[in-house]
Amino acid sequence: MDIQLQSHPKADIVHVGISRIDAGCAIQFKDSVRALLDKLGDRVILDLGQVEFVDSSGLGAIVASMKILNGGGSQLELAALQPNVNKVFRLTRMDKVFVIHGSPAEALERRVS
Amino acid sequence: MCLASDPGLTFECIATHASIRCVLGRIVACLHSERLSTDRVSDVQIVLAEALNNIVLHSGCAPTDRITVTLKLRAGRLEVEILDCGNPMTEPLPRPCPLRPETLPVQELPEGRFGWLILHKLTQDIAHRRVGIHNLLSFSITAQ
Repeated sequence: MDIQLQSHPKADIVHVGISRIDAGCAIQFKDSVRALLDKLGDRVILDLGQVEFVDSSGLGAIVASMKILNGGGSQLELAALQPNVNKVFRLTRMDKVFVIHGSPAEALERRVS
Repeated sequence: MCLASDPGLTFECIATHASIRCVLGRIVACLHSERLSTDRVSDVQIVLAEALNNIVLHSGCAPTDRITVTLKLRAGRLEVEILDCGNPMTEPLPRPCPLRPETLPVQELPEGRFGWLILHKLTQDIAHRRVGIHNLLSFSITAQ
């Protein structure tokens, strides 16, 4: 799975390079995030700019990733949600749970305590 | 043949996630060509993904079993019927649990139960009936 880690003084950015996080790859996505756990600091930005579609399984995998990172002492924030993806977060009220930024650059400029 | 014709348009896939991705791509292209708005096409893609993946995950269908999706445009609404040959669905249809995830600690956040919630929020007239050896799930979505 194309997931790239870019470390930055203010946060670690995880770029997701796939167009869908759905039932066909949700487990693989979660495992890929879990594999990064040892390399991540206390603030992680998941860049979803290339992800055009997330279904309920994909949403579950993102929530699971948040829980995994939280258990390891990291806070997961999201960036660059495409309209389809944003709609799924809104419908399930998960937009009230995650800190969501317009872009990774915006996330780096804004520190959320 | 077009969405507004009487039989509507029928799409087929088999009960695998890969086949569902493929048929969703065909349906989205079709809906764009029928000039549905981007927002409505998005709604249709989201609800069909939920309904079809639910069949793959929970119906007991074999990976070679066929799933049929029929779309018909009538009176400003897109009517959807999905036929599968899985086990009979639980009666009555599951009701979505209202979620207020923002009230929960992170470790207690739900990782599932989103599918029916999404389906109920974006569709109307959801119904299920058993037709011979098939499940027939139907619902409609505003097309405007």
